[in-house]
Amino acid sequence: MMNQAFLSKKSHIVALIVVLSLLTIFTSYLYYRYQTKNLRQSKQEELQAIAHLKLNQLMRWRQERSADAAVMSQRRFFLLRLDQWLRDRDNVKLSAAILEDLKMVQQAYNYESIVLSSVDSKLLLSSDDNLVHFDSLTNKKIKAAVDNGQITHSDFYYCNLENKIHYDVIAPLLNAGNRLIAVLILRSSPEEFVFPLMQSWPTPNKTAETLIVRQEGDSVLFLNNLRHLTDTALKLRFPLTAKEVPAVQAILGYQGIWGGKDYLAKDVLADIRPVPNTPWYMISKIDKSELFREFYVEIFYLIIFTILVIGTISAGLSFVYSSRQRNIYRRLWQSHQEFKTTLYSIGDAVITTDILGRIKYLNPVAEKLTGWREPSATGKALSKVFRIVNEETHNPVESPVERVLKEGVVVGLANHTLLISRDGKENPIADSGAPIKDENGKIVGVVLVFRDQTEEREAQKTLRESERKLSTLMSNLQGMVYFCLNDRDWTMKFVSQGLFGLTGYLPGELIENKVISYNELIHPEDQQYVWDAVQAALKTQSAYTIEYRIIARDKVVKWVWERGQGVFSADGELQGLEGFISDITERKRAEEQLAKYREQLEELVKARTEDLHEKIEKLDKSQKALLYMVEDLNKVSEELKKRRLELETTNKELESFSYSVSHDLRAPLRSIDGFSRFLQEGYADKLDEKGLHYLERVRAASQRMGRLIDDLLALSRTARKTMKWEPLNLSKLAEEVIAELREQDPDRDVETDIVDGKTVTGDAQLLKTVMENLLGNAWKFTKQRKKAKIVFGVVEKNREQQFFINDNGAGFDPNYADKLFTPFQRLHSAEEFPGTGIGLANVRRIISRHGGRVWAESDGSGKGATVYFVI
Amino acid sequence: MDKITKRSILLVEDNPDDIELTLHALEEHHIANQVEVVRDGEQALDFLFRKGKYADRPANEDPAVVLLDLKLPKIDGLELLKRMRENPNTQYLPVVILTSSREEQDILNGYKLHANSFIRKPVNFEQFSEVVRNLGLYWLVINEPLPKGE
Repeated sequence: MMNQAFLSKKSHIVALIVVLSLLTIFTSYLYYRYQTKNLRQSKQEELQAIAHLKLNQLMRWRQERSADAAVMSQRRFFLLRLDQWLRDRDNVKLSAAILEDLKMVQQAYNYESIVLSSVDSKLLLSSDDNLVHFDSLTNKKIKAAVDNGQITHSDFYYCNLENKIHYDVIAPLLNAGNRLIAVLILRSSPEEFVFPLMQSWPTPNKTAETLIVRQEGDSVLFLNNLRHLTDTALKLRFPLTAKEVPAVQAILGYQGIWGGKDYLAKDVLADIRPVPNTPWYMISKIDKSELFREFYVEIFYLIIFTILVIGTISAGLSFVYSSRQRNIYRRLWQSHQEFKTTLYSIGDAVITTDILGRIKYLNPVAEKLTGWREPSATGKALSKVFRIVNEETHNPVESPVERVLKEGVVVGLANHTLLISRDGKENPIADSGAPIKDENGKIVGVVLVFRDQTEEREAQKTLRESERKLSTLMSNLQGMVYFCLNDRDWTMKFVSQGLFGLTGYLPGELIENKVISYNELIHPEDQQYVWDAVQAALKTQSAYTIEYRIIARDKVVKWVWERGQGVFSADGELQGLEGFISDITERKRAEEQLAKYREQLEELVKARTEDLHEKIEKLDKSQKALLYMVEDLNKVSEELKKRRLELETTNKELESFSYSVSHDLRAPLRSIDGFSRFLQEGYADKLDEKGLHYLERVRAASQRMGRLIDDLLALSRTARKTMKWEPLNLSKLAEEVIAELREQDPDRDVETDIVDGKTVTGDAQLLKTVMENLLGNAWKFTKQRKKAKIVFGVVEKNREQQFFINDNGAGFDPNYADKLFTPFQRLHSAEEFPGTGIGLANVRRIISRHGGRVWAESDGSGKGATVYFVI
Repeated sequence: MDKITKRSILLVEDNPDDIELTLHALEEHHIANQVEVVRDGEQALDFLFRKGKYADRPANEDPAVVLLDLKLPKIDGLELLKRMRENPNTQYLPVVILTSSREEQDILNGYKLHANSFIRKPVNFEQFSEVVRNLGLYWLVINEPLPKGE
């Protein structure tokens, strides 16, 4: 908890980060120091070891040169031969042998050349044929060796004759008599061995090398060739004032490790040591940059590591801090939300202010009561928004905020306060105020809670009013209201004034059974009934309605009607009974009267009902008869169905029959007629007049039979044709038929009168046949009239349209009017009026198919005819 | 009359009386040339499609008109007409139904199968003769036949 508290402050976090970072950096630095020291130590030791090795190698090389010289100067046979040759210079053979010897040694020991010189520096013999005389420096050395009789080393020197650096070892040669006879010079080229040796390094690196220097005047001279500069041997020199250069330090007498700058002005670490028995100093050096390279890498990693550690620490602490902050803010926000939600959803009006009484929050209820919106009220003085006055005096009331600030405790404000809203409305309110304190208990603001009391007061008023109304009502009731206990006495706790009117007792006499109990008022015969009814209702907690008799004070028996119910406490315990009792004596009397009437009525109804029963029985019987009839009808219709099927079959047969008739019967007729004709034409001369007449009769008969067949077919077609119902202008049809007749028989002069625009619904083709037949007949039977007249008209009779075709033709005997429509029935001779006797039969058939009827009228022969039809 | 001699008639009829009457009527009106008579539907098909005994009938000599009775043995008149109309070679060949029947159903079926005319043989020979004359005149002289090779 301490830690958390500590971490919650930002400055603490920053300080912690700084301290931890410094600690990390310091640790890294210590580590760095330790590593540097270690490395420098080990590098120095390595350098010293290598320097030591190099020095040994250099010294061994010198010693080897001396040893070679010593061996050569001790070889007795060689010395003898040399001595001999020196005395007999012309002995070419001897000189050749000596020279061969020299060359052999030169090659064997890898010298640049081996030379024999006289004591006075004259060149005698040389393994190198190019060498003819010595340079001055060699002369000087030879002289030095002759003088001290010792093996003498020359230093590295630059030979002007050969333009090369040489290193000579000079040995004086003595003969058997210890006389100095010559000098032997073993000449080496340092570039062959010493300089590469110095340059080489036992460990792989880029900058390490060894150099040999010596003092020359007030400067230091580099004797060997260098790794990083070419052609330096015996040429490169530094003044002794350049003290940072290790070579200069060597000359100045320093030995051991020296850190300075080399000939290339690079930072180097050098080991300086003199070469014993020589004026040389050997310097082994290595660039610091190389030496510490691996360490730089290590430093780099160290720095990275340090930064990472610091970063991690910072990030971690920041995260801890920020998540803590987030938590704090979230909790703050939540509690703020809670506060706001509570504030805004609370049923009471709430206003909060700061210490100066300026408004901070105002919830919706407060908005409604004060008439101020929160945004405009915020920051305003409470007294401006929350204007309260005394309900009676209308004097301003002390601001609750001031009281709370003054007293520092929760205060309930005086009642009878009116809040005056922004628009001047006054609402009675109840309010209280409480201080808001900070963590130190200092008051920082006030919460003011108040409630609109309008409704409460209204409710109180309503309650009082209803109480008043109830009491008025009860005293005016025709009957009594009661509250009693559920005991055998019906002990009354309360009865209304109505008791007196009902029983003649005053309420005070009945309450607590003071004078008489209510049970005693009940008619003895009804007491048990009342008890049972009430107990039954109580069991189911339902209301009871009962009617019974009471006996009033004046002994008058009264019928009363009572309705009541048990009063139960919240836990279901019976408290008593509550109800209302009223006088129904009048009603009871009326009911009794009514019952008498009802009895009479019932008797009457009974008599009537019996009568009705009789009638129903009769009806039943006739219904049964009807049922039998229906059954019969069903049977008949079944029979009809069967018949229809049979008829359909017959029809089909008829159809195929008529087809054969049309085709097969007509063919032979044609033959009869045709061949008769051939006879008439081709054989007229062979027949007499009578024979020709017979032929004529045969032909007429066959043609007449052809017409008969056609008409019969037409009749059968009429029966079979499918009806096509459509509206159709009968007048127009008549006109058409008349026109056709006129065309066929243009010589006739017939007057026609056709009624206009008569339409019917029917089959156009069939009705055309009707008109053709009827008008055709009229036309035919008027042919003997000079002034023939045909009328097509309609008469309205019996609410139906009767169409008729009337002519002034031959007419017929009315006795035979019915036979006209029978097939093949004719009333005139064929000679008088040709015809088949089928036309009118066909007409009747068509009209019947249209559901109509047709009949003919005539006043007798020669008086014209009228055919009527109704569709 | 020149045209008549060149163009022929195919009479499909089973009743010998009717054949004789028809031929007589044609003769009467000098249209008797080149009347080929077949007695049933099968023969008619053989003739039209050059099968059986008519296999050698020269090409391009189809009749100008076919007079067709409906009631025929083997293959009846309507069936014959149907087969003719189904065949490209006889698809447009004029066919006149010449029958005793006046059944509406027969007339309707005849026209449905693209018969060119439907004529009922009258019983009266004069009328019959007149009908035959008109037929011959119309189909052999007046009517312009389908161009050859169409």
